[in-house]
Amino acid sequence: MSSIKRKLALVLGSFVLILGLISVALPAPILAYSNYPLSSSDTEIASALDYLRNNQTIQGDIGGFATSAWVTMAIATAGEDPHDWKAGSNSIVDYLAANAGDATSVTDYARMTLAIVAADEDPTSFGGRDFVNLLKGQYNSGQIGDTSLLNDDFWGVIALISAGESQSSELVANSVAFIKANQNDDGGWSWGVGQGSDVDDTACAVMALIAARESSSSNAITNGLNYIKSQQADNGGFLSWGATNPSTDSWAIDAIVVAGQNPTSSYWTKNNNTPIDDLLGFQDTTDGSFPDWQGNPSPWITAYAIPTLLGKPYPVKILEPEEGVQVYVRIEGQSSTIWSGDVIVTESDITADNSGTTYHLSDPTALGALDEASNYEGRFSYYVTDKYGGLYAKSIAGEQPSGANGWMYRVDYYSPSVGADQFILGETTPPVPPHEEVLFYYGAWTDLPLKISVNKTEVDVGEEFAVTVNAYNDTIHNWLPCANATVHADEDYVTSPEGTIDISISRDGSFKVFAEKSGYIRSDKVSVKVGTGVGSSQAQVSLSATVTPAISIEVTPNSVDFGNLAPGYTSDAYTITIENKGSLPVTVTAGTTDQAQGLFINGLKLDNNSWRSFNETINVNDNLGTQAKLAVPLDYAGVGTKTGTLIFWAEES
Amino acid sequence: MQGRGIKLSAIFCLLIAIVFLFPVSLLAAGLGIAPRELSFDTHIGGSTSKTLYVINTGDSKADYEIYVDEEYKDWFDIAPSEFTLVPDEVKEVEVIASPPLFSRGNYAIRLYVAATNPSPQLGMGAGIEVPVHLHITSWPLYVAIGMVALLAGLAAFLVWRRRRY
Repeated sequence: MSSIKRKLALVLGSFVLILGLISVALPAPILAYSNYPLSSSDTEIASALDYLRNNQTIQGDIGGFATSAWVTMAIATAGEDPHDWKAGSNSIVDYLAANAGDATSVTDYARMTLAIVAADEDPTSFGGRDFVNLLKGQYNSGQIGDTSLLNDDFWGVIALISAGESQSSELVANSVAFIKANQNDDGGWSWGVGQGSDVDDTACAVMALIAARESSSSNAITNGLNYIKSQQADNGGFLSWGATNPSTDSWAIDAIVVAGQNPTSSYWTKNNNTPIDDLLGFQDTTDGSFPDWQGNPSPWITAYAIPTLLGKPYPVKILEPEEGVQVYVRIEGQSSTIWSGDVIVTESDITADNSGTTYHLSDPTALGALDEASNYEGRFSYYVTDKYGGLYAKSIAGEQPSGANGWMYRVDYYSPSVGADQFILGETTPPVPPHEEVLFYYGAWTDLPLKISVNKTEVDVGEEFAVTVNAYNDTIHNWLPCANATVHADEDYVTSPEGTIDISISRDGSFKVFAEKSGYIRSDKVSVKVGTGVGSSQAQVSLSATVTPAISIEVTPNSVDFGNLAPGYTSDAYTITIENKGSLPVTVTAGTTDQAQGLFINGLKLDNNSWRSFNETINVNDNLGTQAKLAVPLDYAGVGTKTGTLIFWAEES
Repeated sequence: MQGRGIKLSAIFCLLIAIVFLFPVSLLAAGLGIAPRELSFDTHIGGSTSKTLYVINTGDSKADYEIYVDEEYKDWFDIAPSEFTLVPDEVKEVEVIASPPLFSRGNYAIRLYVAATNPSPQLGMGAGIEVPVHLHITSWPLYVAIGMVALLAGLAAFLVWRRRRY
């Protein structure tokens, strides 16, 4: 080799060597993450899942009760079965079921519903609880849960839709309207009504609205995303209290994805950083975890990040809306309408209150419609008995049968010859399907339905409108004019022999007009708007009251752990509070049982005396504290965890 | 709902403090009943029913059990006698008194409604003792005995008259 060639080789070799050294010494340039969404086999996801798996306890939980629900969703989005995630014999699903009773708030119910659906379990029957009905039971004043909060509406809507609730149901539609009505001027939402916007809650609102089929191009969604964009930091993440964090990033990205946009697109790239870059920047590459706000590895935050990175926002799974027969249910009590509204009836499981036997009605039945109605807002209780062969609704809303009067039903005003549990909606004839209305009413079997109609539903003040009242005739199965029926509007009127009456109302208001007559079933109500429709002249005043039970006590806490004790030792004192929540003073005594060889019966002290001598009077709305101690006898032979029950018995003083 | 990021750090710290400072569950066991007492009027061989409403006034799910004094347990049917209620749920319970024959008189009985929470430790429960007044009349039995005696007397009279003529 010539010297020139040797020099050239030396220069080139040195250049390559220097380049190699530079490439090793300098950190790799940060590139915008373009491989989105990730797959469950990607290192980032696999290591995050490993981190969660390594944190599962022998009870099956990962990070406690609430976090276990989020983890269950994360597992499902990764294509794994949460039932297979076990530590010992308990899976994370087993853990959630065993602790289902710990859910006490709207957001608890929502989170549990989302996790249960993700785990392919039944949210209407999980751990002995019906989470769908628990959620629906929180619906009030056109929204879910606390009227001053919004986050319970976001998650309530997401969870109910996940559980198969129709987007067009009254509950969802009204809650969505409530959410939209509380969007702030900056396009964002807050956790509470009238509070300032934040990214987390705005993201939740966007997910809720789109789950409810709000168009992603609607003003509400567009403005919501604009707000989120306004909070994007130069590192690509989203600001919360002045900095980005993996929790806020996760939900913001979820909102972007659910709206059909790509978080790695140029629009969502800022300063060459995407939101995914910032989120992944939080991951600990040694154990796969994502940190909480204190920088500690967190199963909770890791559970948020996994669905986000997989491109699967909430709800991670949606049950198909229930199929069935939609009917209008009306329940007419002795003096007023107990409930009316639309329900969707499928199959039903109805327990006879007298025998405790549960009957599965595999078809949509008239009794099933009553059962469905009892679960809606304004719910009522009903008592069903199997004493007479089939299932019979003996009382509704506490109205008991008396003499010849009791509870009966009609379908499309026809009185069927089979029991309500045997009448299959959309199938049984007569009357000819499709069936539109199921009417349960208190009265005699000879009572006939009334129907009311008006020729105008909007009139000026003083303008006349005609009311017609007809009665159903069971012989000809048709309607005939009903004379002398009382028509309730701004005041009471009586129909002519032709079953009609002309009414004019001289003040503004919106009036519910209906008819009654002895021996007939109260008619449904029709609304007539007079003038502006706004006024205080309504003839009827809506009344409500919450009746306190005559005798009622509450004991806090509901359990006490005296800790580790040895024979001859006495535990610390624990305060137990007994509150009289009834309407009468009570005298309270104590009773104890145990499965502990007499440990609690012999060793439990209340205020340093045997529990047997406890005898206190508590006045209405008053409470009493007592100090509970456990003294383990010196000769006590048992070992291990011992259980027992202490019951405080109240009786009227 | 979890997950409000850094802004919830204060709440989180408070919750942590609560969890570690109090070694007991702060959930409450509670129940309420209406009416305050049950009164039954029936007769020998008859039966009558009353409705008792039980409400979970606590803030956790609880198991409920209803029973009467042991010596009268055969006199009553209680349906349902065992059930579980979630907070604020109300149960309508039918109490049927069917006293045995020859039980005429007035009885003061106790009906017990107990709410307990399954617990791995010492579970706290709330209970209410409901006074039950049972008034049993015997007139149907006396009327029946009187009717039988009257018919027997009438038959004896007719036999006597037929033999006399």
